Amino acid sequence: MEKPTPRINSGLRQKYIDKTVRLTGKVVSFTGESALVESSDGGQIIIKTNRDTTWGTSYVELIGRVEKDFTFTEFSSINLGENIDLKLVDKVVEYGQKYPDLFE
Amino acid sequence: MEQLTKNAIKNFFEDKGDLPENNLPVVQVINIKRIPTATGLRYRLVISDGNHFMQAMLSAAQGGLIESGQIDKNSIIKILKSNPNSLQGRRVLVLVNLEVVNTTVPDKIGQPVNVENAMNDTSATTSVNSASPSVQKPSYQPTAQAQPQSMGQSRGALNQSAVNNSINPSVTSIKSLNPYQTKWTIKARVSQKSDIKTWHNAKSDGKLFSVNLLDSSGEIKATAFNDQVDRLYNLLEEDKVYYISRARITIARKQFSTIDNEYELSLDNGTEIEVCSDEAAVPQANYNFVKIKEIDNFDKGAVIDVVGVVKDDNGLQEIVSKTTGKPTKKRELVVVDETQKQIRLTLWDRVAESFDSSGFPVITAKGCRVGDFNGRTLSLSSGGALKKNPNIPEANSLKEWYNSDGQTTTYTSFSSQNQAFDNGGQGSNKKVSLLQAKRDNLGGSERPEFFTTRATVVYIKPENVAYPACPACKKKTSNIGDGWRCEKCEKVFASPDWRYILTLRIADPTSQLFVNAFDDAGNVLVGKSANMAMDLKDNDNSSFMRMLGECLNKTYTLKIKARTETYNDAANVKYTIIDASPIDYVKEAHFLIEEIEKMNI
Repeated sequence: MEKPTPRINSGLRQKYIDKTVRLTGKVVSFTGESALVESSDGGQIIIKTNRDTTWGTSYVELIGRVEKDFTFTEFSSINLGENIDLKLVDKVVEYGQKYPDLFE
Repeated sequence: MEQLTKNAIKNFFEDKGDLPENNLPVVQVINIKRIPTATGLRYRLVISDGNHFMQAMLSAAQGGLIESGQIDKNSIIKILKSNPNSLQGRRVLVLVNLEVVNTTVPDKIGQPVNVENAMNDTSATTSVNSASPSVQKPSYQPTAQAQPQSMGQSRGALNQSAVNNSINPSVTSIKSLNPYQTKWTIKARVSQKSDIKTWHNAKSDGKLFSVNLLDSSGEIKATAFNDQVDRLYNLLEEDKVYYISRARITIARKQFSTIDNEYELSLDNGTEIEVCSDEAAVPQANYNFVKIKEIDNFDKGAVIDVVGVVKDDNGLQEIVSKTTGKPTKKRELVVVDETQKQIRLTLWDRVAESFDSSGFPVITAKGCRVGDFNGRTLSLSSGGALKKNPNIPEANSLKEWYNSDGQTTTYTSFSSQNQAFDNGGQGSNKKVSLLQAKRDNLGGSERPEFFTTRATVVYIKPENVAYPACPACKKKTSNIGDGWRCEKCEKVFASPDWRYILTLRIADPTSQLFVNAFDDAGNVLVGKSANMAMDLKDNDNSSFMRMLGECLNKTYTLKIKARTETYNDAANVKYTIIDASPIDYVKEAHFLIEEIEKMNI
């Protein structure tokens, strides 16, 4: 990805409507078409899944776009395993907002 | 001087010309100047009463007196009627009617000074200086005045301030002193007076003493040399307020002073110092106290003020100074404050000798230099001032705190950067970087100190990686041909238990370090047991080397013990890894977050 994709949590969706972002979270439920992911700040986000990708693990990182209705359209995903400390992830999201020069 | 009316000029200048004592005053004409004007010739005079002189204009009608020679240079006249006036912003007395008292007078009477300047100097009129009274060449230009607001002023303003001067003595603030001002007076308190110091070197020898002067605007150091020491040493007393003027303003030599001022004063022959009884406007002392806990934020060499309670006194010691080779006295105190930290404060010479630390006194120390030995230390500089139990709010509240909580509090010191191991315990949680460990001289004493760090293995010495150990007691065994014998257990073993004694170099982004590791840590770092490693070394050296290579560039969380050991007259800090563990990323990340939060950018 050449364009920077800021990391977001559920609270930041407002800021990034129609923008491409990264979302790291825990898979709560999954169907073929959509999924529910808990983001690092605890909020749940409805994902419109990309049928070509497979989600393997409990924790995933999704690259996609925030829609006007606050759902998330997935472009691509990465499996992050079973052991992610979401509190740390949220800190990264927080620092990414505080020090954008470092992250974008 | 009896002929001339005393203070006549001063009175005219201050517009008191109508006073009875100024009735028909007698003055001397000390200069005459012809001024051609459109209306004819006018004469400008300088008239003097023997103490002061000022400008005067002869009215047109009186011009004849000059032309006829009745008024000449140094003639004495009696002024019958005059009008004060301003010409080009300067005070000029118009002489309307006068009488000649004495035409031919050989000399100027007295040593009159320009009344305009003298009016600005009211605060320093009397001087304790036994040398010649202040003499000023009569000049017609307005010289620089003492008030800061008069810098670069116009002539008009001169007029204004001349009148004001009789009400307000003009005192310069210490902050505004600079070498471009020639006439100034400060009103300052001596906040500290040094001892008389003598020096002898190839070029010269002599003596000096210095004082720190303080007013509400700032501070400045003043030094007196040689003769001036005799004149001024007894005059200037600590805590008294003085008017000082006519000292030389020079560039400050920072290595000899801790006062924050670009300039300092040199008290010389012409310096006037007068005791001032009005102490009201001058503060007692200017402190900028730093809490002991915050001394960590200051670099070595910084100068600060502290207030604290003396918890401990290591007594008066006599040492030979490293810098001068002279024997000096020093006293080390342990000072604490309510931030529950303690720090060592060193006093020197006279201050050290006379200090009595009984009763856990509260002290204020102004002008302490921060050192970094064992973390942080303080040393009272020679220009610094130490006060015991001063009556200021900070000291009083500290005394109250000490009486209630202070005696029972345990204090952390700077020597171990770490809260957790004041007992030298093994559980050290606080992380330091390698550079910090070296900088803080962890392990600088024979008492071991522990710290934790995150570093990468960059080199392992391939020789002597393990020793043959006794399986029972782990001591080194000797090869006696067909077995290995342990001296302590007095047993022989077929094969020893090899145990790691690695010498390796670790590095982090700040620095690197040579460390040792024994078997427990060695196993983690190499990944194989020492027995297997030695086996490989004996049989397949290239595989052994490759194996060692694979240990490199791996990062671990290491607990290190640091201790100074003396070996053949050389004392070095030896570092040993007592625990090596792979990085717990989650834990490390939380630690990083803590550090980031502290950064507060």
